[in-house]
This record gives sequence, C-alpha cells and structure tokens, in this order.
Amino acid sequence: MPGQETPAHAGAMRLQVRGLTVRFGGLAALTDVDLDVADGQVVGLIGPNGAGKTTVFNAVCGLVRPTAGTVTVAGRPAPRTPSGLAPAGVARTLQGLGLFPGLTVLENVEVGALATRGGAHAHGPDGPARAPRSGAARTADPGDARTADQRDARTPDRRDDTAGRALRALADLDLADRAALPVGALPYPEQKRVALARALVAEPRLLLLDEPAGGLGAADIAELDATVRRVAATGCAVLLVEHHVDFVMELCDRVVVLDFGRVIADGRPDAVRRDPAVTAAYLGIEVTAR
Amino acid sequence: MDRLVFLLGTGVARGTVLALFALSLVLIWRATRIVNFAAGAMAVVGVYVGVAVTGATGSWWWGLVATVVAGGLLGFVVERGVLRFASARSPLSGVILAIGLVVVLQSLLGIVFGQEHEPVQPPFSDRPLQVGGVPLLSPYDLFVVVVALGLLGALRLLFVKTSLGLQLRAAAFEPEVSRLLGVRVARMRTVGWVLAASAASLAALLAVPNELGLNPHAADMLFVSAFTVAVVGGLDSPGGALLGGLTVGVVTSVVTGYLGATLAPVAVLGLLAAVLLLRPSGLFAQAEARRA
Repeated sequence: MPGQETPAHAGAMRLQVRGLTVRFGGLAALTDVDLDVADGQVVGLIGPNGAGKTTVFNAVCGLVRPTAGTVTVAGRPAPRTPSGLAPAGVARTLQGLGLFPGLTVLENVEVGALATRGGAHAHGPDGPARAPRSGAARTADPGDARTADQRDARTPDRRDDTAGRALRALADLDLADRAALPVGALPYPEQKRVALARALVAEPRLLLLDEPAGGLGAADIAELDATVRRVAATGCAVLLVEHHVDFVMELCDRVVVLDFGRVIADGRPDAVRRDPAVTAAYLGIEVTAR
Repeated sequence: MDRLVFLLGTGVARGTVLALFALSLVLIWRATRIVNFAAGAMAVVGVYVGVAVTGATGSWWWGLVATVVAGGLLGFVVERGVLRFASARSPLSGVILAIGLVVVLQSLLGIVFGQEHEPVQPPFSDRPLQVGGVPLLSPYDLFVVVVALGLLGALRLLFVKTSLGLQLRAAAFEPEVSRLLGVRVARMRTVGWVLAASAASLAALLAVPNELGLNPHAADMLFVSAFTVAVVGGLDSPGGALLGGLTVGVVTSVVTGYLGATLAPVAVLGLLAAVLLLRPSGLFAQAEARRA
C-alpha cells in the first residue's frame, strides 16, 4: 500500500518506515505502520486525537524506541538519539512553539543552525532546503533544486556564520526586522514562523512539522502553505501532522490516516477523502463539523 | 563620614566576590535546577590546592591558576560522578546529594589538613589607601574588584557572544528542545558545572585573606552570603547576582562597621528571610524568568 500512490515527480525515498510498532507497557501506540516520504514530496499524517501521529514523529526522532519495525532516513537507519538528527538532515518543529523563551528571535534560530555548522550534513550530493524567496513555482523535478540554491561558503565554528544563516532564514520568512527582539514579544503567528525558521535554518532534507497550522488564522495558513511548497520545491521531503484537514488536503501530495495506531488509509488527498474507512473513523465527523 | 566611605568601599570589594560566588550558584541552578549546597566545600578544596601550589612554587599566581583548574576539575568529577544521578523528579534529591558531598569533602580536608585556621597572606598589601585623607580600598581589595568584575564580564561575553554560550543558555532553558536541535545537553551541563566550580573556587581564594584563615569550613559563611545574594538577585538572573552581591556586601560591611562583626551573619540571614517572604523570585529577577 505505501508508495503505491507516490506521484511520478517524486524523487528518491527520504523516509521509509516499515512495520513500525511501539508499545508503552501493554498499550499499543503504533501497530505495523508503513510510511514513505520521497524527496520533494509533502505527506500529511492525520487521524483522531491519540491515533499515534506524534508517536510516529518521536520514533523517527529517536525519542521513542520502536518495539518492532525499522525507520530509515535516506536508506540509513534513523539516528538513535535526537542529537544525530541534524547531521542526518532531519529537522522537526514541535506542537505549540517549543521556542527558548529567554533568547532573542535571532538566537532562537541560531541554535537550530549550530548543529550544521560548516554544512557537515550527511546530505550526499543533494542541496540544502532553504526556501528561496523567488522560487514560487513548484519544480517538477527535485533534482533541479540543487542548482536553484547555492550553498554558501562557510567557515566552521564561527558564530558570525551561524548568525548570518539565521538572519537569512528569518528574512526568508519575513522576520528579519524581528531578529533582535525577545521571542516572547512576538505575536503567536510570528513565533510560529520563528519555530519554522529554526527548523529550516538547518537546511534539512527531511522536515517534520508537528501541527504547523495550529492556532493560525486563514492568512497565516495560506502563507504557511506557500512556504511548505517552496521548501518541498527545493527537494526537501516534508511530513506533517495536522488537525486542520482542509489545509492538509490542499497542500499534501499524499495523506496517511492513522486510527488507533494503525494506518487505515494512504493515498492521494481526494481518494483518502472518499475512503469510507476514513469517513467512518474520522473525516466524516471532522469535515462536516467545519 | 570617612568611616562610612571606607565601609562602603570594603563592602563593594566583598560584594564583587560574593557576586562571583553567587554566579556559580546561578549557573548551576539555571542549568540543572539544583541549588549547589556543596559549592562552599568544593571551593575550599580548590583553595587548598592553590595554597599548596603557592607554597611549593613561591608564586601566588601559580596558586591562583591551580585553584581555578582544581575547582574546574572537581566540578567535572562532581557533576559526572555524583549530581548527574540526582532525580529530575524530586528537587530534594540534588540537595541531599550536595549536602552529603559537603560532609564527605569537609571530613576529608579535616583528615588531611586538620581543622586549624591557617592564615593566608594576600599577594598585595591589605592596608587601605588614603584618598584625600580618607582611608578607602586597600590595593588587595582593588585587585579583588578588578579580577571579580573582569571575570564576571568575561563570563557574560562567553554566554552572550559565543556559540558555546548560546548552547549553554539553550540547554538551560529548554533541554528537551535543545536535544532535538542537536545541542549536546549533557555536555553543556558538565561545562556549566566546570565553569561554575572554577568561578566559586576563585571567589573563595580571593575572599580567604580577608577571613580568619583557611580551614575546611572557610567558605561556609561565604556560601551562606552568596546563597543570600543569589536569592536576593533572583536564582535565574546572572545580572541579579552582581546587584545582589553589591547589596549584600555593603550590608555586611556597614553592619560589621557600626554594629559589630557578630551581627553581620544575622543581618545577612535577616535579608534572606525578608526577601524570601516578600519577593521570593528575587529583587532583580527578570520578568521573563523561565518556567520552573
């Protein structure tokens, strides 16, 4: 089932989850979950509360040890500890904000840039996933992304360099003029963008977004949609967990539906929307309610 | 009036040392949510090493270097060997481990060096300089102020300007988030302990010539005062440590000068009690203090 509906334009497999089972004591949080995200693809992970969406993220991030199954990133086993994520080209945003309240906006984003100083990713030949302001149109072939973004010459271990990268990541999300403010002084939607900038500054090849639209209004969601498309256009694989179903259906190439820790549907948004199992479990109630 | 000026000068000198020692407590509190009750005992170990090195080499400066290095090493050993195992769920766990450490360290020092007060000579004269006929600071006090303020400034630069400092702050504010971003939180915690223990040892070395002398309990009162400083300034606030240090230093000095030395500890503890009653988060704590 997984990968079956992968669009023709998708690149190599970035994230592969096979037979993932996670048990907390006697409780099965995830049972035999398969999931694929290809380079340049945006995959939405939805499901009712407690379906296990965040547990999937935590298993990919090394925060939760799988009881069974494998998680591979670019063909290699996923890092066993979170500190291996950034070097493996994986960045994640957290539910809510997860920002550092005592630091400035710039410093918050800089922390995200530190782990990839000197561009020491295990990226292989791919380019980084900065979202270029100009590249509005989605590239058909993510292989082109390499040329669309030039890697900056960097000297390792210089704070100037990470500050520069952080400033550019902020500018990409229209936050350059906020850099020196304490992060708590920003309105919520802007703080949400700071969290996104902090993930993007690591120039990930796999971006995990945990409820990126949570708490945002329509205009901010439209902007988020455009940003995610830009990032994916650079060849970055995006996996997002979201309750906002319209946003997911509009944005994602593929949607995976979890219910009670099992995958009950996996396919193109329109197919998933019509799937009776999904309607029964989740969407019927959710969609008509909106 | 001359007397007040002299007492204020002495109070400022003592206050900068207290600030340095209090900063050590603040650094560890921010990084690990543990009040390091062993800070005094640990610092005295560093001072014993420094005094021994000064005795062996004849140079006070080598003693200073040895104190800082020994303090840092002890900080490393204590964090990796003892306080790492403090339970994150119970605030008492770290406190009890630290108090146990105090007993062990002070007993070991007593066994090795005895309980007598060993006088420690300052490297400079401690006779006050006359400024316009008024006795003000001694050259040694001046040296203490310069070294303590210099180190406070250097630590501030480290925390604000370097990527190591950024990681130290990030790991202190949100360890879980930092870990996801690739910050090596356990390593940052160790670095924090090493920095804090070095600073406390240096503060104790600077303070000892103005005290009765060196014995295993030489830093006990320094610790109590510095703890008061940290509470007055706000345990979360490095800037508060400096302001709190100056406050407590001046209060101690003025009370000693006008009411007698025996009342100074009472005044310090009175201040501690008053602040805890009226403003437990500290007089100088930032509004954005981190959620505990």
